[in-house]
Formats: sequence, structure tokens, C-alpha cells
Amino acid sequence: MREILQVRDLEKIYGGRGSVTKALNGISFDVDKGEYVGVMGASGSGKTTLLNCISTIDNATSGSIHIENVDITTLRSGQLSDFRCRKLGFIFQDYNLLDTLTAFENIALALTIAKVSTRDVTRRVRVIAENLGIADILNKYPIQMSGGQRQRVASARAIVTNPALVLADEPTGALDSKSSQALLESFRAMVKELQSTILMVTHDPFSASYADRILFIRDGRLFTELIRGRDSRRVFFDKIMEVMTVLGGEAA
Amino acid sequence: MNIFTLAFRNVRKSFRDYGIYFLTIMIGVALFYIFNSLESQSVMMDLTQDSRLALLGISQDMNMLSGFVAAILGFLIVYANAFLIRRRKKELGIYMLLGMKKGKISAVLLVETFLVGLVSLAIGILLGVFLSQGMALITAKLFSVSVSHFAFVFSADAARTSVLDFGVAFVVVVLFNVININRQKLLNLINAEKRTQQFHKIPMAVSILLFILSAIMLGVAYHIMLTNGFAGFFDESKRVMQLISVILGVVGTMLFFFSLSGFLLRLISKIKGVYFKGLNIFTLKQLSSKMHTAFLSQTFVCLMLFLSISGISVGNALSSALRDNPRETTASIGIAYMSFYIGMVFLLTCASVLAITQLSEASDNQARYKLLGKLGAPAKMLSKSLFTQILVYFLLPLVLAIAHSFVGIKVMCMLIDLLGDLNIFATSITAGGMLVLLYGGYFLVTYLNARKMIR
Ligand SMILES: Nc1ncnc2c1ncn2[C@@H]1O[C@H](COP(=O)(O)OP(=O)(O)O)[C@@H](O)[C@H]1O
Ligand SMILES: [Mg+2]
Repeated sequence: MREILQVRDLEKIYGGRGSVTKALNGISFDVDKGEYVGVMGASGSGKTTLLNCISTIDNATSGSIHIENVDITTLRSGQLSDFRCRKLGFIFQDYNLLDTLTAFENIALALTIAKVSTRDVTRRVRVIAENLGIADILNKYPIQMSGGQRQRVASARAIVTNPALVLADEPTGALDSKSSQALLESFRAMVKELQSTILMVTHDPFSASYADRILFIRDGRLFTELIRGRDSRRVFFDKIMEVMTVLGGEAA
Repeated sequence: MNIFTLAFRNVRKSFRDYGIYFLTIMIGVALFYIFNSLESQSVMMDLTQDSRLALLGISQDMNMLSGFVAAILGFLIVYANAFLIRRRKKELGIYMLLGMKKGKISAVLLVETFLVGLVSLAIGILLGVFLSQGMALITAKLFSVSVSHFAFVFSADAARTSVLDFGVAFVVVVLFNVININRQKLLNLINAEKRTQQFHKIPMAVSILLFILSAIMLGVAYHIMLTNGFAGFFDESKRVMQLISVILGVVGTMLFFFSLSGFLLRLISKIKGVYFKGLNIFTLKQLSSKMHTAFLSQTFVCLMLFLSISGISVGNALSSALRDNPRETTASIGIAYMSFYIGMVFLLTCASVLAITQLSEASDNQARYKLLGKLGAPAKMLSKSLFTQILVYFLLPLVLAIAHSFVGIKVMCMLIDLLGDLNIFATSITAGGMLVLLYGGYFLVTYLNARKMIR
């Protein structure tokens, strides 16, 4: 099987009594193993809601989400947290590192939560840190790091458990262009060398141009998708800009 | 919105936060009432003229002591209130943002304080009235008289004193709140939650050295105490030695807690099998990052606990000695009651100070627990980490306080010159029972409340 993620007819309805918001309106798509997929759409189009449903932080109203052939919409809360720490990795916009822990400890925590054998922890953290170029800041606290370094530590934390799927919500949102670029390069490296699968929400066409495929969402539905194929990043960037123009002025 | 409606809604909404506040005032008031109602209880006993006079003397002593007790409980109320205000800073900031005048916010807080105060005062007195009936039976036994006409006694005097003294404490709280609100800038209130963490690292070697030093100081202090006893009270020349011992004890205790964090916690983090298990990395870091600042409150709690355990033990020991030996002086009954009274109040103080600091800790850490949950840490794992943290804070000062108490009780028994008759072991068990009930109860309430906060 090649598909890691299968989303089918997903609906999410917020609220009740009077004001009802259909944040997701029957969206369906697949993501293959080793794919780097971007999700774009106007603000309020349902990107974060989609990610929260896939990441089991939020419950879908109807439809199904299969991750490695397990329908996560049917899991109970105990199974969910187990599933979350074994199969999923998260990267948040605002890093979300624990400020009381060093980089090493932040990354190690993801392993110890997943009950990885204590003998392997140190080695695995070092390998990942080497890969993401943060080996020399492992003993620093988040407050002593730059934004880009923090986000790379957060990325290391997300992939150190070898998750089936890495979910990132605007990971470059709080970074300057240079740090963004470095982070996006390391995402590419994660996909290429570690066979990670990444689903990344972004409103920035530059960030999106690093992906293999872009899903465009409008009003909680799949509007269109764009596959990079053999295009260079420049060409792909231009195509993304075109779709964004079609999508409407504030396709941010 | 109407001030009263708002205040009423707030109390109902933050009922959980008010929990420890309620509990502490309630138990404080009950204790206060019991020991102030001693005299009224005598009506049901067949006391001789002499005994009646003696009891009157004791109850006057108690009333005097109550001034001191009221001050301590007042401090506790103000402290608990400060915690509540800190926890609600953001909410108060939003009131200001919405254009509510500072005067009106103070008025809302005043009504809240009044509401909570009134309810807890009433329940506390009710509890006191019930418990004081049992107390009357004990008193009768100590005076070895029978209770001929058991009646349900309500002491209006004691109730009035309780209401008055605690009323003063509430006035202080209200003043504190008004000043606090007036000094606040809007921005501070809104940003109250964003504090950055400071890291002071003390080298391991220094920690170990300080730890050894503290052990030596405590050892010397114990030794001086055990060899000299309270001889200093009667012998001028030994007074200096005694003072040295007390100072060594206090400083040693402080150093003990100060060095322990760096020492023990870093030692544990060297044991990979423990360190890399579940949330232990997080738990240990939580403990060690706070210990540097928490050592003062730990010292305070430890010394209070020590006085409290000693007080309750001696109080109990004396009263059981009296039961065997009815011709003992009534002065001993006085000492017994006082030690017990003070002991209980100190115990209450420790327990609630710990509870409040741990609850504010948990509330500051909500975001961290939420993140851990997102990373896939199951609720059970989070609760376990929280449990460990709170347990360590409650247990550490207790362990050292028990060590202190062994020495303290021995010395006090020498002083009272009853060593031969006193069964320290048996009475310490009584003290232990009280401790488990009150201290353990507070621990449990703290843990359960904190757990609800992080869910
Ligand atoms: N917790 C919530 N309660 C009610 N409505 C919500 C909630 N979260 C999101 N929404 C609504 O759902 C829609 C999609 O939101 P979101 O997924 O955050 O969009 P995006 O991330 O694409 O900007 C919006 O209309 C938003 O107002
Ligand atoms: Mg969003």
C-alpha cells in the first residue's frame, strides 16, 4: 500500500443553536508515502480545522480519516493518544517547545512519551539533530535559540519517533525568509533521506513551492490541486501564484 | 452588569479556585471557635470550685493565644486571596479593557470576598460548634469529672470573637485588593501570564558541598539540643549554646532544601533508566527549576511542621499522662491545650501554604500540560507527573520535619520532666493521625484540583 493518509467526505460543523459553521464540507484526498504535500487556501477556508481533525486534536462531524489503514475517527481517547505519539508528528506555527527543557530534552521527550527503550533515546536524538543541523545547540534552552533554530528543534521532535505522517501548521509563519528557507530545505531533506511524509499548511506561496503537490481549499472543499512533476521550484511557484489569483484576491 | 450579579457569578464560576480558600477559613474558624468556647462548655460538667477557676484561667490563656492565632490565620487568608487575584489577573484586565472603572472592579471583589467570607465563616462556626461538644467530653475527662447534664452548647462569645477577628482579616483582604487593583496597569494584567523562565545553574560540586554542610549543621544542632535540652531556660551559661543550636538548625534546614534540588535531581537525571521514562524528564526539570525559588517556602513549611508535630505530640502526651495521674496540676492541662491548639494552627498553615503554591504552579503550567497532551502524552501520564511534583513538595519538608521532631519531642519531654511517664511513641502516633488527616487531606484536595486545571 502506498497511501499513508486517506481522507473521505470529511465534514466538520462548528457550533449549534443558530450560528452553524461548516468548516469542512465533504473534502476527500489521499497522500502517498514519502510525499510532501502543501495545503493552501484563504483564511477561514478550513485549513487548520482539517489539520486538527487529521491530528486527532479535533473530532470530525462525519466522514473518515484512514492513517496507515486505521480509521482514526473510530478510535477512543486512550487509543488516540497512543496513536498520536507513535504515528504522528506535529510542527506548530509558534514552535511550542517546552521552555524549561533544553533542545535535547525537548526532542527526547517525544521518544520517552512513545515509550521508546531508554537505551536508544540518546542515540536517536543525536542522529536526528545531526540531520537537521542542530547538533551544536542541543544543550541550549529555547530562550537562547533563534526562531529558525527553535523551529528546527520542533521539527526534530516531530520526526524523531519516525512518524507515518508529519503535520505542520504554518511552520514558517513566524520565521524570517532566511530561516524559512533553511527550514524548508530541511523538510525536503526529511522527505528525501528519511522517507518522511509531510502535510504542511501554509499561506505563503514561497513555502508552498517546496512541496511536491498543493491542495487548494475553498469553503471547506477541495478547490483544485497542483502537482509539481518535473517543474523547477521557480516554475512551480509561478503556477501557484496563478491558482491563487483565480482563487480570489485574498488567497492568503 | 450589576455588581452583585457579577460577583455572584464569579464566585460560582471560580468555585474550584476558591476551594482551598474556603477549606482553610472553615477549618481555621472551627479551631478558633473550639478553643475559645472552652469556658462555656464547662456548664455541663460537675466541676469543683477549684477546677472551675482553673478552667477559667486556661480559657483566658486560650483567648490571649487566639490573638496570635488570628494573626496567623489572617495572614493565610491574605495569602490565599493574593493567589486568587493573581490567577484572575487576565479576567480583571479584560474588565478594564471593557472600560470598567477600577472602583467598580474593587467593588466586585469586595462583594466576592464578603460572599465567600460569610459562607465559610458560617460553616466554620457550625463545624466548630459540633466539634466542641467532643472537646467538652475530653476536657471533662482531663479534669476527671463526669458529664452529668450533657447539653448542646453554643458559645455566643466564641462565635462573636470568631466573627470579629476574621472580619478584621477580611477587611485587610479588601484593602489589599483595592491597593492591588489601583496599582495595576492594564498591560501588566493582560500580559500577566507571559513570564520568562530564569535558569540559575549551581555547579554540582557546590550543591554536594552545601548538602554535606547542611547535614553537618543539622547533626551538630541535634547533638547540642539532646545534650543540653532546654537547660538554657534555667541556666544562663547554656543559653548561648542553645541559641547556636537553634540557628544551626534553621540555617541547616534552609541549606538542605537549597542544595537538594541541584544535588538529588541531577543525580537522578544521571540514571538513564529513570530519566528517560515517560514524562520524567519534564517532571524532574519542573521540580529543579522551581526548587531554587521554592527552598524558602520549603524551609518555612518544614519548621512550621516541626513545631506543629512537636506541639500536637506534647499536647497529647500531657493529656494522656494526666488521665493516668489525675492529681497533676491544671497548669499541665493548659500547656497541653495550648500545644495542641498551636500545633493544629501551624499544621493548617503549612498545608494551605503548600496547597496554594502548588495550585498556582499548576495553573501557571497549564499551557505546558496542554502541549504534552498534543504530543501524545495520555491523561494518565500527565496526572502521574503532576502527582509526583505535588507529592515531592508535600513530602520533602515533612520528612525533615519528622527528623527534627524526634529531637524536639525528646527535649520537650525533658523540659516538662515527665519523660518517665510519657509514652512518646503512642502520642506521636496520634500526632501522626492528625497529620495524615489534615495534611494528607490538603494534599489530596490540591492534587485533585490541580488535575482538573490541567485537563
Ligand atoms: N472552535 C471553533 N468554533 C467555531 N468556529 C470555528 C472554530 N474553529 C474554526 N471555526 C470556523 O471554521 C472556519 C474554518 O476555520 P480554520 O480552519 O481555522 O481556517 P483557516 O485555518 O483556513 O484559516 C472559519 O469560518 C472559522 O471561523
Ligand atoms: Mg489557520
